[in-house]
Amino acid sequence: MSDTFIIVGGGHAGVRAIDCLRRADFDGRIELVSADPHLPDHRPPLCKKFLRGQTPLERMYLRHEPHFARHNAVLRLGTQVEAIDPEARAVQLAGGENLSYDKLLLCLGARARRLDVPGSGLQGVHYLRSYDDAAAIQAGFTAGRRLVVVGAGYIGLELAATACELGLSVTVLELAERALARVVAPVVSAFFARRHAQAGVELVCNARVREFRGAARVRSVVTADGREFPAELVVVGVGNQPETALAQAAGLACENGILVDAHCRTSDPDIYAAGDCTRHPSVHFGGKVRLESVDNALEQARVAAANMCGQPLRHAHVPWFWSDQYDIKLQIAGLSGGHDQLVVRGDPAGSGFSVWYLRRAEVLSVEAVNRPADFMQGGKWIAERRRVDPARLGDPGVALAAV
Amino acid sequence: MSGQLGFYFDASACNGCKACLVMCKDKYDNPIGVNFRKVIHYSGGYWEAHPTQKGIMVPHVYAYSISVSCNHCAEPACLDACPTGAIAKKANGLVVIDKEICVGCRLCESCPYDAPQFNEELGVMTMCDGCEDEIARGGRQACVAACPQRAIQFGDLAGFREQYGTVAGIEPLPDPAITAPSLVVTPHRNSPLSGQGTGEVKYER
Repeated sequence: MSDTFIIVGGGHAGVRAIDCLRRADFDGRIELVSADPHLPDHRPPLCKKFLRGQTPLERMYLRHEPHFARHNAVLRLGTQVEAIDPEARAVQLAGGENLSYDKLLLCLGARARRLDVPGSGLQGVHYLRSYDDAAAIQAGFTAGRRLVVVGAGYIGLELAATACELGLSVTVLELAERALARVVAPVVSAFFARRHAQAGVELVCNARVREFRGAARVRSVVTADGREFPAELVVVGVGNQPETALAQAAGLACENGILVDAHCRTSDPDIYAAGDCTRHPSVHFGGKVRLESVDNALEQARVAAANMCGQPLRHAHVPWFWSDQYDIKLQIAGLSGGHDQLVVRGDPAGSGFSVWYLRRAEVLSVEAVNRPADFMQGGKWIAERRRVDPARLGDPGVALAAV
Repeated sequence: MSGQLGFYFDASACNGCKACLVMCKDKYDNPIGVNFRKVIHYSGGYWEAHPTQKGIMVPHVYAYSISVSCNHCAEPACLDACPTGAIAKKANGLVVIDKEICVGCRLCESCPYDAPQFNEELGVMTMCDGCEDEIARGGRQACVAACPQRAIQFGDLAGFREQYGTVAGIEPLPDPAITAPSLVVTPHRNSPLSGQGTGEVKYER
């Protein structure tokens, strides 16, 4: 009798796993259980093109219905998984039905971190993770409205850029001393701060939100230093927390994410996990990381699928990230931790440049602003642990290939 | 040419021979499994009242083939999905992939026409480029030249619409409202429009 593989979660990882399992010639049963009532969708457009009102949900599907039929995958949409029983190798669905599995793949994702301050339950205070969240935000997205975004991370800034283009009046409140502080170099933060200022976005750093004020609906946001920012709409983007409750209840090892090995296997040999919900050893960089990115979800799904089919494959890929704001494309390859030198290539006051992180001259990471070729080259160098001459790298007169 | 380029496909003339697919594959030297164009066989039907004999139901059946490639859509889903900016829509409306900056993430596979094709060896996405070399020299596209039934044409989309109408989706092609394909189809007789089919795909390659 052929095996049954159950995938829990309808994000990038879950859908990619179906493709990879079939490509690996798995001919057993595949069921994907997703709490979302609709087909799995692309999330990155939710704070960009979707808010501009140009993109119906069906244009954002990761895969259309016939694809799942062709891959002989059963989708159970709008279905919550209540519990996992690793002993019995079964998942229990809301409503009581049990599904038996031979192997289980958890692609549970993450949830938006909640800001626990007075007034956080007021109408008009939103978080953005799912299509439904975005649809609720879009309903209030009209020109002239005052929007306060809490958090100058990727989501906050992308949303601010979209809102600004649509004619909303936008203020971004950031706890740290600069935007994107967790993910990019100061020079890149400064570049984005300038671009947002040009567009008319008010970016306020060192601002800790103390309270949302209003009767039923939010009217303003108050910071710890007593400043009050009027708001008709608030979107909070202050990071994510991995979805681990289901795994934890099943006794799987979790520690800021579901712990998996380089084969994406959890502490139970028949249960794998992929995507935002995991914390995994970084084969290339060392240490354990939890990466919230589309790329990581896709790559871990590929690795998990191969291993579920008995093909040993390690997750050794160099991670990459991107962000689109206005006419700017930021692309990042690698992880910058442990660098001892920073090299800027090109003019940060211009329209495109890149920032390179080196450790003893080895390229660890590159942040490329409107420089796709630098990003591509950087990714290759990181993978091959290439050492470069920092002076030549920083000299725009020297072609990258000749560095 | 400055207007949108696109395909005309005559489903009433196609016999499903796959010469288009083979010629395209040969020209681009694509590996096994990578097809810029595919041919789908679709068949189905339903019961209907006999036109003259009262109380008699007779089968109304259809079976036909469709040849389809990238449709260089007005609203390309692949372009929206691409995180690197490798997919662009050119002035002549063709949707093209810049292999130099494609990272091979395959997100553009969300195309409902299944047009972008991952080339494992190159590690990047590839797809129909409208035979740009032929456009430049005024020649015919590989699929167009190969078709013994003269069922495929490539050229000015507005002209095709004027000449052949505006049908852009018959089963099992997706609803044209999703991506606004640059495609005009002459339906096979009795072929249902996209979304209205009761048949099934028999063979797809």
